[in-house]
Amino acid sequence: MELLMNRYLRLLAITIVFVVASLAPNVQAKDHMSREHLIKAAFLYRIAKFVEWPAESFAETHAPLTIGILGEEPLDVALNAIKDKSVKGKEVVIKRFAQIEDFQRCHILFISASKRKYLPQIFDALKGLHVLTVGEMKNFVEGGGIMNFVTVNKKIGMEINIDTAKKAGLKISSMLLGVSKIIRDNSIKGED
Amino acid sequence: MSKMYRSFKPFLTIWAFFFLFVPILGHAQSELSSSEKTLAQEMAELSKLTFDDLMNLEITSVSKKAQKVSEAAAAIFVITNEDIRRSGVTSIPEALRMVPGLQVARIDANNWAITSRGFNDRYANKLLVLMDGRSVYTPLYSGVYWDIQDTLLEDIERIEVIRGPGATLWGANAVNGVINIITKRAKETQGVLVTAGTGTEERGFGGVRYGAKIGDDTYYRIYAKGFDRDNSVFASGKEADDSWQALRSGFRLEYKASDRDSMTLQGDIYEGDAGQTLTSTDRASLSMQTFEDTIDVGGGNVLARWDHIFSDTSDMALQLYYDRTEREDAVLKEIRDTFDIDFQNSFKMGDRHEIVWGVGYRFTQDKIRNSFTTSFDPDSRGDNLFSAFVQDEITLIEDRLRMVCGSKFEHNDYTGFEYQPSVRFLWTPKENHRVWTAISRAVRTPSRANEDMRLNYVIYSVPFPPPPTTYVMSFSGDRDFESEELVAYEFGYRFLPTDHFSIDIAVFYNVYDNLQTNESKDRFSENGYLVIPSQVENRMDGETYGVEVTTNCDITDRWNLTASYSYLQIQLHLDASSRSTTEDRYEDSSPHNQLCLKSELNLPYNLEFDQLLYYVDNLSFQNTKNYFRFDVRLGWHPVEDIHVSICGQNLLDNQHQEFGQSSGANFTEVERSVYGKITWNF
Repeated sequence: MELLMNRYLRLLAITIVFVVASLAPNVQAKDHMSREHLIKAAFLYRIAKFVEWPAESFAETHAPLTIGILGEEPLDVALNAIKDKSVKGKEVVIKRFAQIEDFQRCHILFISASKRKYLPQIFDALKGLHVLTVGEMKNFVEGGGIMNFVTVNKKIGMEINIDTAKKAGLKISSMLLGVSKIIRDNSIKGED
Repeated sequence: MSKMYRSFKPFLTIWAFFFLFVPILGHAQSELSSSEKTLAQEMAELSKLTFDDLMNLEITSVSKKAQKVSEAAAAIFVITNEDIRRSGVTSIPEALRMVPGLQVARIDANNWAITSRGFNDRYANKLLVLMDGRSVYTPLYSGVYWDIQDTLLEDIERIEVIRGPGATLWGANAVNGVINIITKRAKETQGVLVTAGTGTEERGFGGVRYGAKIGDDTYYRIYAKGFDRDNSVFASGKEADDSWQALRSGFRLEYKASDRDSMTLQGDIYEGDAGQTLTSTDRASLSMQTFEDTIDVGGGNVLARWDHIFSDTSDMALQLYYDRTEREDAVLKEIRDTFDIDFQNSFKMGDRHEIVWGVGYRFTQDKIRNSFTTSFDPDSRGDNLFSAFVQDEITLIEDRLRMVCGSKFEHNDYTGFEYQPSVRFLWTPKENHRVWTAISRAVRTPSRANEDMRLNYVIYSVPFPPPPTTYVMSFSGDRDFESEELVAYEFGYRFLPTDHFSIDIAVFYNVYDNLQTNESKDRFSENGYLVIPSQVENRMDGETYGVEVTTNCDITDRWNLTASYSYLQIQLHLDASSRSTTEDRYEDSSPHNQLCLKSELNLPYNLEFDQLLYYVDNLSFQNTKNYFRFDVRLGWHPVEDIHVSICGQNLLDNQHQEFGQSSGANFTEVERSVYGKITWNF
């Protein structure tokens, strides 16, 4: 009997530890950060190096480059995790907006999928502001956005509407255009 | 027994200390918000990649396991490469112990009885096992020879285990479950890997793998491995004769022909021998003989696959394979060749339908050398299997409710046409909750043994009436044997609030019909002895039901705890006309309760401390007591590419029994053991 007691006591001890631990309320309630978010954040950071903004977008030559995140995606957490961010000698600053009404000047605005229904208002608010809009939903670039993340075979690719980019006064490097799917305003969605 | 435990007390106390206190110490050490540290490291790496590189990354979530499991409308458990590494298991059957709903029992050093949700036996026939798409169950018994299912464990990407009928996609025999062993792509196994180790039961083992690329589009790897495993012991403590040795080698090659086409070619060859102690009928002496015997195995396979992507929403795959197995022991020799060709296409129809369909053909041919004990008539047979399946995944309410319905259709040479439909629903009531339910029909088609086998399993003589009479008890197959049928009702719930915590519950109620029974028949005279025959028929039905629960929790960044519990109840009913005693055998050969607790802890100084505790209920028909099993592993990676580990297994008991006598092979008990291993990557 004694040996059984030993055995079961050990099992009981482990079970208690486990149950207590698993009920711990503070169980790393981190934002649901998936690999997809990390990759998109890395893309945004890299995109900044391959786009040229008109001179008036920067208050002065040392003004930082601002990447704004509109919506629920925790890309700002991922971007903030990159130490020593700089693009073409400019410091990179990350801002987060819950809705478009809170929008402040930024150079890249990532619009999360949750804002799908508000695209018309968003593009309206950004008219004439030289903002590179990046989305992650269907028909984003057809509807007025400039760049869009698409998922093909579990990998991330990009769509770029070069006409909308031109209207916003932005120049996109051919290196980025070369690896993306190009959309034009006046054609049927096409690529060669 | 109690003497043994008294000497164990100090050991158990040390173990309790480790389990309870070391993790807490480890946690105190890792004060730094190491979660952000890891994120910073990840982002640092990603920000250095070019566009091309970024576009080639696969978005699998941080926990690939979680993504695969959360959206499935089935009871699925994924054993990852890390799970295998951290648990210290040295073979595929041993890795399956941690899966709730699976019953894994070691019969002797080279034999396991493995099943899902009941009906366990050395030749358990309700489980389908595939290795990279190649079916590995033998049509001879509809079971799996676990001793030849092996590969370099470091090259296993994951093992997906689906409990419940996977018949729609995978076909007949996937009655109670499907095990899918998936190896890594050649692209992910580049460079050289060398692994070697030794221990008390693992006398010696080693493996080497070399991966390289040809140009930019072709990746390949070749590997070789071998092991020498020690004998186990009988219940008496006496050394048994079930040691085994094996050598295996293989390759995998992938060629990316274009953006849309990729080809895979892979193959293995192996050979080995294993000892067993057989008790079988001996014609010469007209008595039972118990003797040491050797099982010789050998074989190989080659598989070719072409994957083609039509578009974002449509792709296809064409696969061919050839498999040869040779197996010989004192009572049976079997040589089997299998050819299989499969085609599969998936496409989206409109916004709401994702359709997968496929056709396949398999031809399997065997040649058997009969013996007095085991014989097949005919001794050589070729069987054809034609199959087709279709499945539609319908989005009923976007992001909220999905329905999957489909069916597999097969035509085999034993029972003709079979259909196996299934309907499943996946409901997402709230963001982190998933509820799924399924009704499916599955069949277990007859095996060659069910149809053509004659097994003389007992022989004895009595001295009266003069002259002495010899009796032979036999078991025969029957051409009229029908498929066993199952209708399964399943339900599941998942709660996944974060990447660090999840609960997965699966409930099932299975209704079986036409289950196999051994019916006593009238005696007859044959070759000078009297045969007491029984014949296989389908005169039993029954229900099984149970629950499987798994909780997975990252207590801290360095400490993960997983607990799984399975409950199973089997109730079988013989038809009134039946003269069989089969029901007890299956009702009491599977444990009612099973528990697995796993703790994985990352300690400072690159140390890993892992513990596994299992509990398995008793098997009354197998005269097997319930047991606890405790495994511990200590790993250390002093530098990036070198891993050293020491692993103790079955530490609680000198030896314990896990299963009983199986078809003449004497069972042995599992011993306490320890082994050390070093793995070097460069």
